[in-house]
Amino acid sequence: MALFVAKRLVALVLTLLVASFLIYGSLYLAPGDPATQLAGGRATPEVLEQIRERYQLDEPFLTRYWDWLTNVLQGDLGQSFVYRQDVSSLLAPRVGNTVFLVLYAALLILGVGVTLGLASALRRRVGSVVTAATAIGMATPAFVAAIVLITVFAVNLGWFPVFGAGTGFLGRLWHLTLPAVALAFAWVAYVTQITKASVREELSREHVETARSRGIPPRLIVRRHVFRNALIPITTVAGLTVAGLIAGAVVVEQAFGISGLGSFLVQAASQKDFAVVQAIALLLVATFVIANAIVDLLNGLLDPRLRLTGSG
Amino acid sequence: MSTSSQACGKARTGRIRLWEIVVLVAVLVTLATVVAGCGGTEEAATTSPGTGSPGDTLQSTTPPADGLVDEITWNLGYGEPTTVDPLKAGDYGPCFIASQMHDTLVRYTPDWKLQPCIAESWDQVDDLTLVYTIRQDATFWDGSPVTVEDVVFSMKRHMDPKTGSIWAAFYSYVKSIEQTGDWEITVKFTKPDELFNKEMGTVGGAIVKKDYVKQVGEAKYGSGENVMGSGPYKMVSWKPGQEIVLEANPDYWDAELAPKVSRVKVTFISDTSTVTSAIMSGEIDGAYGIPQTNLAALEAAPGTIYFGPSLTVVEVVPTNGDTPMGDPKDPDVRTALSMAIDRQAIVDNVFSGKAVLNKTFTPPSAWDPEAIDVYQAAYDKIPGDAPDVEGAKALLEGKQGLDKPLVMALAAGNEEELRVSSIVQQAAKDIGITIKLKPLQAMDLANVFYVPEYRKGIDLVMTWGWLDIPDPLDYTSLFFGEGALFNWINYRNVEVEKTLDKARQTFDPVERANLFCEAQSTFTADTIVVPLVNPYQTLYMSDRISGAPCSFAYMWIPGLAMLGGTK
Repeated sequence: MALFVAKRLVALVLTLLVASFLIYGSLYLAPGDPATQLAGGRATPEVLEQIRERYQLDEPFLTRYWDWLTNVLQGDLGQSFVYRQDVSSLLAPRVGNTVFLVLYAALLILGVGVTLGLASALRRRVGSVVTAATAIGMATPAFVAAIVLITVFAVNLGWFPVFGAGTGFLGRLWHLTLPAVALAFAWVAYVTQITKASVREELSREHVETARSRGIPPRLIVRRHVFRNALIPITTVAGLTVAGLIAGAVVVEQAFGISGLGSFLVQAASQKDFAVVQAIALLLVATFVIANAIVDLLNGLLDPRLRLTGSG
Repeated sequence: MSTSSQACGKARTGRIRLWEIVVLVAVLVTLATVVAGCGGTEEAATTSPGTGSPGDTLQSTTPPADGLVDEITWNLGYGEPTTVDPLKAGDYGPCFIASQMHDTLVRYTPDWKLQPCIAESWDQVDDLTLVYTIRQDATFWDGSPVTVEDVVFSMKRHMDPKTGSIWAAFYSYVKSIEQTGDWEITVKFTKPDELFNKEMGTVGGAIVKKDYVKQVGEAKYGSGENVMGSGPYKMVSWKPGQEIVLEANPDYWDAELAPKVSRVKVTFISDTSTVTSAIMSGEIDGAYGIPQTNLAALEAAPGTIYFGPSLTVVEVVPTNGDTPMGDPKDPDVRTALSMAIDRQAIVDNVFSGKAVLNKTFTPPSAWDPEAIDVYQAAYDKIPGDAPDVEGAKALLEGKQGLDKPLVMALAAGNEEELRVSSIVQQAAKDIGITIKLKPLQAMDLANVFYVPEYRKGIDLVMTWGWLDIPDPLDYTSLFFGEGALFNWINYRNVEVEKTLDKARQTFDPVERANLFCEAQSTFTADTIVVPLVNPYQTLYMSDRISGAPCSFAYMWIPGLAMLGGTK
């Protein structure tokens, strides 16, 4: 176990290092001079020169990357040159919103998705209805779901706010319900299908048939022999879902005017705001790696045959 | 036992490998860059000429209201300000917010009359000397008085190349700024400058507190909550990405502008459909610059849309002097394009009539009221009220090099701009010129404006610019003369440059108008830009509030302090 964690940590650090280099490099190589936007409305050559000098935009790539890296190692994420503020102070209020949104959506996805999947696997009649519903769900992009939800529940019914992330737990819950539903929409359908398929597969296994023929109560069979085994692919999918949710959050945050990491990443990348892009990208990478490690851990707990090897 | 190997296989495929993560994130970042282009509200740059006149439903002010209101939400549709330092504020949002928090040396009314502000009076002693008397009762939010030293510091800041002021050009004729009495400042000029005092009514003449700027540092001033003004609203908090909260300054010196709204939550929603929904649901109380394409959807909104005169101009600017379109010496191709365009069709079809066609470099809304007849007479002589396709074709007779398609850059994600561009494209097609549209993201478009390398391969740029104040000369310095910011094709005409320079040195409005119109007749014939339309200023206010200015002067005056509750 300790070895597993240690190996995963080393892998995490290496991944972050490689990713940070590649992202910095691709941003550096992408065409575009960020100084012009910073200058506001009238970028005379003198003003542009000032800006490039102040933010070291003319320095060679390796120098800038090295500067950035050494600062990060000392705990300084750098300054957004667009906002002239520390990246950490710009990210702090956004991290909370995005984490809340993603967790909220993940809960909806797992809760609703697994329930629907189980129900449709165990009850044929429910199954056909759910299959039709999930087909629609999977085909609905988040931004379409967002527009429909806003129109119906925010503008017409007035139950939820159109935009913003709210403050406090209840405020956030209220503000982020529609965004979380919009975000969860397609994924619920996906998890439902996966759950249904894997439960059905387990149901037809030899040991399940054997248990059934021995007269073990169906409820017990489902819990002990079907669901537990079926959980392995479900957990794996759940891990991938988290990664997908963060990407999906970009669209939903934009549509609901939520100040989050996704919308900030889009904005920062388009302005070549290096320090911000780096910080958010690394946060994402770390989240993926950690989510993946947790999935492996859980799978090991669910099925002792899947020994933790620490590979990855 | 097949079960275990299968389960194992599934778990394996679920595992993400290092390189997959890296690729995934790289793809995400790339995607982010691409997505950013769409829906990108474009704040182009302060360019181009414009339009304007008629006043069907146009109003500079909205009905006054004097009820007290606890809190309202005001949205900046062009996104979050990157700064609220008047020295660095060059876009709609930053200028508007900076103007709520800072007083200016002189102040405009919504219909552009100059009033005293931090300067209680001014005296143009002679052509080269301007004396300001500073009022003694203004205080910053921390209670300290606004001193002559603060005023001198605030002005001189713009003249220091290290600050990177985007308003430095306002001070280009200034020789010195000095305190010459207890409450007196004298500005000396190297050349007479009729513009200077007028421009002191913009953020270029805003007053900051010297000690405070020194304390937080020049570069940091105006970022985050680091701001200290003497205006009617003070900064309470700035939650990045979310909102800026302003609070009424209870000690504001100007009783006429004592704020009636206690708190203003400023949001930055730029997604136009989200803005529309938030207005419909009553979550947004006010906003300037509602896109024309969204006006119809807002007819049922719990509020009113107002239209005011604007100094905004939509035009096509040639970028490349080496091509037939941009040839500084031979304007025929540009002129032919200009002749072929149906401007009224742009007004009717894109703006639903909420704009005026514009035939020259600057819009009629920028004319000096004291010399309006001179400007009008000159304007009437300019062709362009209706398209003349045959005349345009005749002009192109025998021209070489027109078979190559031209590339016109425009702002990606801006529906209005795209529709205007297609009309221009069609007009070009009618006279045998092919124009390809090239939508660019905000940063890429800004690059085309300010970095010569990025103009390669681009022949024309569709721009939305504005004049800072209603004076055509405010705009000409950007286009005429060697190295002028937007003189991309290097158009040179010594007569025009001399006449414009003389006009700027002329304080008499009629005499100045005559000089300007003389230059105008030449440069309009040379089609230095292809003017299109002057869209109206739009303003939305919910039924709860009223009183905000509706002219383009909203950029420079504390309009939030003019608001009041209607109930």
